[in-house]
Amino acid sequence: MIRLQEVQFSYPRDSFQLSIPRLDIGRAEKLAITGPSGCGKTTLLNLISGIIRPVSGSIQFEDIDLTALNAQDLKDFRLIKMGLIFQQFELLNYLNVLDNVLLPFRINPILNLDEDIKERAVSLIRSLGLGDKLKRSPARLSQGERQRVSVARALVTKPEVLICDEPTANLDPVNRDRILDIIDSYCEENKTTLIMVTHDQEILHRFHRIINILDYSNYNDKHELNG
Amino acid sequence: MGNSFYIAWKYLQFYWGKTLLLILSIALVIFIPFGLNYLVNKGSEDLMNRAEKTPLIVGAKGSETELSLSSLYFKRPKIEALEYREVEKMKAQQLGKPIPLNLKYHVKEQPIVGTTSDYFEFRKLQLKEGRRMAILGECVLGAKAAQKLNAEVGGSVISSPSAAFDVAGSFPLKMSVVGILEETGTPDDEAVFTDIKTSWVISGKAHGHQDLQQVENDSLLLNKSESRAVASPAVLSYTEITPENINSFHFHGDPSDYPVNAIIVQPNDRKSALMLRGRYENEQDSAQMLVPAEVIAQLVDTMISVRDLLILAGVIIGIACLAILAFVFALSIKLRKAELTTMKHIGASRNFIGSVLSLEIGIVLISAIIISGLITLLLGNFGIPLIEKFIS
Repeated sequence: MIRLQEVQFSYPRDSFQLSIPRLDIGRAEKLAITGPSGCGKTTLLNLISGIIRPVSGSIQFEDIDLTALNAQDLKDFRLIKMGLIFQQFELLNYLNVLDNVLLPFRINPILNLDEDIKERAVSLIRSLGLGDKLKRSPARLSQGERQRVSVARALVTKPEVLICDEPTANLDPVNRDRILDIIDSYCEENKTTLIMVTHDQEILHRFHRIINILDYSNYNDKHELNG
Repeated sequence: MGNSFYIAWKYLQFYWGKTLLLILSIALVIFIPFGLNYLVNKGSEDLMNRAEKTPLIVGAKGSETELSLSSLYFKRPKIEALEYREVEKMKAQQLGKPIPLNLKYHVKEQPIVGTTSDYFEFRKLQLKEGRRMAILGECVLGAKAAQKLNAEVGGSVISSPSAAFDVAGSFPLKMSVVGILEETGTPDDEAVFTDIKTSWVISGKAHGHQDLQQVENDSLLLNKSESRAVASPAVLSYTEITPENINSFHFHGDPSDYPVNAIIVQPNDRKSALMLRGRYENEQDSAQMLVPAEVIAQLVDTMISVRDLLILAGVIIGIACLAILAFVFALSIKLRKAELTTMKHIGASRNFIGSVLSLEIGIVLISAIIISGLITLLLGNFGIPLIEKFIS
């Protein structure tokens, strides 16, 4: 489904370099990306989601070469195909829970916000146990609740790929497991591909495949991340 | 546009305290130069308008500004009164029509204007209901005075004593309201018009009491002969003029000595005006004649100079405030970097984010303009009378 080939990335004026000779991710696969801090896990996620572009190489999403798309097309593509969950939740405190979940429909005209979508968002929020907090600001929610809102925002567009950057890093074990159960069951029901960066060894058993990015921080064409 | 407006609006609504502060600050920055300019221009226009419609004023020597403002705005005169013989003198000269104004008394906060029917002709005042005053003790109310005193035709109003312990004779007089004027948007709306003689009754120059020749109780008399009776202080004066007691009202002394605070003069023509002015050039004379438009124009010039200074200060402060606001806004965007980045990562275009931020600024600016407009309008309604009150 997703293929990275000969991808190289480096930040300007920085010695950091990430090289991915090849990485294939299959449909409905659950992939965990691990590695120490600063080794490029988030950079890899950003490359896959098109937030940053590689210096060279290609990133294919099915038949589409993401590196060939212009900035706006790439954003539109990401909005339709991918759901993003961040470590810091990245919710907007001035929007209530429902509006935060509906944010992808408000920020880009490519997605049409209608009553069906609103109903879908409400039922998603209810299924995440936040039905009584629809009108509440995220500022007045607990960490676990805020991450659930963040998950709902990522799932409301029915993405084909869910990209999560350490989504449970700030949560206690109970909330962590709850969030992961929600993500797991959604991915299984919808055949959604899951790519998650994590440091947490205790959750690795949930994934089909685990890769350590450290092995690919230097260009080496013998390493292929296709399991 | 709908969604970016929604997000911008939600942001401003959530941080309402900050937004309100921002709106009020900008409103003030806008109001100081523009609102002040409008108010002073409107105030000056109104002042000049009334002054220009009043050709000449005669009053006791003293402050020209004081005399002009008292005559035009019916403020309690702070200058000496003239004698009524000045009016008679002017009538005899036949160079114009004198309209006396006696302005010392009030009904609550409303000035009593003792004058003649000529004043109504001169100011083109129309009756909304009732008629003009015809006999002693009657009054006609300006539109706002009627509202404020809650009075109607057929009712009555009572003059307020000029001083609580005024033993010289100013006592409350109950006056019948016989007419109410159409609103004119001028100080005439605030006035209680009576005949000049009624104002003299209020001042104690004239009064009515029991017929002393008929009094049987000797304690009410100090002295009595066949032709003359002298009342003791025990004789009560009437506080209301009625058809039954009107004939008992009488004036003591020579009415030519009675006070008038100012005389509006309508000269027959330009030449008559020049002649009249020439006759008041004598430095020995206790009276002065002035052209209110000239006096008010000087006052307006002063106001405009002050306005210009304030506007200059306002513009400088405004530029400084706008620079600070721009800095605050830039800082706020920096603080919101994470939030804006999230939107961008999820799929918002640069244009969308730009439109959200622009709409936030736009809503704040438009609200500030509306508020500064409302402040100007409010002050236009209440401030111009305040300006007039202040300067007079």
